[in-house]
Amino acid sequence: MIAFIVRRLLLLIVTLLVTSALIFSLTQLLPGDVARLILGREATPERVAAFNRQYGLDLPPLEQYTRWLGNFIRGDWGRSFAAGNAAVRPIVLERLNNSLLLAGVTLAISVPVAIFLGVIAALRAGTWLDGLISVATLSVVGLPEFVTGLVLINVFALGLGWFEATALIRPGYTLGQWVRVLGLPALTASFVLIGYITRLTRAGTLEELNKPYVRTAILKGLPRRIVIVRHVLRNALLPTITVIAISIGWLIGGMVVIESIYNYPGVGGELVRAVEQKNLPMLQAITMIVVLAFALANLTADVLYTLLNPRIRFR
Amino acid sequence: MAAPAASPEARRSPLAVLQRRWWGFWRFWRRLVRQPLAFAATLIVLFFMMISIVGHWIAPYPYDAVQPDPDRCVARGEAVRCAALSNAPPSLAHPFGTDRNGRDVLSRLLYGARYTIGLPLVATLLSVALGTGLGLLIGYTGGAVDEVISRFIDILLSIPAIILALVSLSTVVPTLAASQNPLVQSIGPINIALVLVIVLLYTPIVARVIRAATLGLRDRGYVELAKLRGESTLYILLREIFPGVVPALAVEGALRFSYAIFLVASLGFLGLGAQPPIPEWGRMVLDARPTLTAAPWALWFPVGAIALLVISVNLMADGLQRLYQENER
Repeated sequence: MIAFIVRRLLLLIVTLLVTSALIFSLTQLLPGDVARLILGREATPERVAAFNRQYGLDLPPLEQYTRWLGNFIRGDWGRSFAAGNAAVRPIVLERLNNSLLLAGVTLAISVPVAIFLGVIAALRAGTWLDGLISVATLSVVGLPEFVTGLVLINVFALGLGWFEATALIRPGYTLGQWVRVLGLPALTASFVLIGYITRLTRAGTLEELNKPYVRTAILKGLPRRIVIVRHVLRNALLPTITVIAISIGWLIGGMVVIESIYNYPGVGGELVRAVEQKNLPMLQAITMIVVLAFALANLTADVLYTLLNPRIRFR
Repeated sequence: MAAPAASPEARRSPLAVLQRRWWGFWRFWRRLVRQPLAFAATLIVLFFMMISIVGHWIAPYPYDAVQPDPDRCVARGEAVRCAALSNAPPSLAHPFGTDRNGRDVLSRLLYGARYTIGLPLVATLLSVALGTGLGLLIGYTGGAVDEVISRFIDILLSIPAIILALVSLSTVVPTLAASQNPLVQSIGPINIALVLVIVLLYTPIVARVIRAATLGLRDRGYVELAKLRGESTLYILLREIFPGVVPALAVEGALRFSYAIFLVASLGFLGLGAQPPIPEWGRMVLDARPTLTAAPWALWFPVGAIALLVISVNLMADGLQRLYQENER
């Protein structure tokens, strides 16, 4: 087990290195002068030179990369190209915090609903209810977030007025204000997750229901509820748990569109801004953080799966 | 989808080929009809694909023409000048209304279909072709090449797709825009960039699926037989293994198509995809958002079109998957 985790952590480091090199070489492809792009066409050559010196853009690419990497590991993530030239790290960490909060709320909404729906669909397999759940989840899974988001805004923010249409976060919110602000972004993200997890739960439960041990449990006279909760779900939810862990990674990076719809101050929205502004230090830092979160989530999923499933523990 | 199991001579006889094709098609058709929802969804997808080809011919107005408001015209000498018919509700002349710039929403949707459906389709076909080639090759040959490429694919797939898309778009688009190549300029740098990004993202995924399918086939008897007959690797890949991976390919292709549409529309909505005045549907939604109350039709028609399209593609992919699973049993 320890060897497994160590190997995976080593792989994680390789992944991060390759990713950073990949992103770095992609940014090197930018035509012309980054400084010109940032400062504008009218910038004097002196200002361009000063900008390049300040950000080390006049160094050869390989040296730029190693310097950036060394600084990044030591916790100096550089300064933003955007107005104010603020340090990147505090901004990214604050955004990450917000994104994690949104991801947590989303999981809290979607996981119970999805498992419930999935189990119901599996128990009623082949009936109209199962068909309805299947088609509904299938439809929801594929819908772009801006489509569901706009419908939700129109109904719950503009129509009913239950939630805010834009998510401003200020310190000192009461619980009610948090619900109003986080409600719609979390609901939008939940739609995708519910669709996904429901389908997996249904498939897993259905598979377990057909196994001999379930028949044995029924034949020995256990009540149906006990058979399902104690025997079936324990096995059927195994793949679901890993999916939940993976979705945390997805939620952190994948909420780009959702955060843009609601102006939510998370890493996704910040990333879009960094791309628009050609803000390379910000872009690099956010990418690294998201990939790290994604990889850690995957690792957690694998470890959990191994821990919960003794059959593959010592492979 | 017939199982390639008969002896080589019998398989090559023209009558047998015809019979097998016909029988395969008949079985496919019967199963398809048993899934009315997937069938209907497939028809809708085909309809949308058709629109993306003929849309600009059947559109009642040019996509970027500002429509005149007949009630607000003044004659100035010879010419009659009219104010723009902005935010007009649906009517006979403009069935889906007009947007804030006074452009006909239906015409824009019809024309924009080529960007929302045509472009993802082309990109999906490209990545399916490349991914299949790569997957067949590394799955069949195995060894160190397979090991290295598979590890690289793993790493590539551990970067969230939207991040990779955003970062590569942000660098590929300016690079292409700076190019003087007339072909690039006529297709549009952003379109090429979108296709490239989708190919970059989905080729590894397709390759992985096809590699797995190939692994399951490469030790089959008929492959051994072809090897003993002294057939070339290319022949074995194309004639013996490829037919076996087609079902997996169809399912994966349909899924990729759905994600490609999703990606293009989402990037359009973020303002990073198609640029005005190109009426890509996601971009139309973005542009119509400020006038939600004045011209809701300019927002809800593109939103509805995207929803219908994506749901149909997903139901179609799901139907294909069930056909495939039935085939496996």
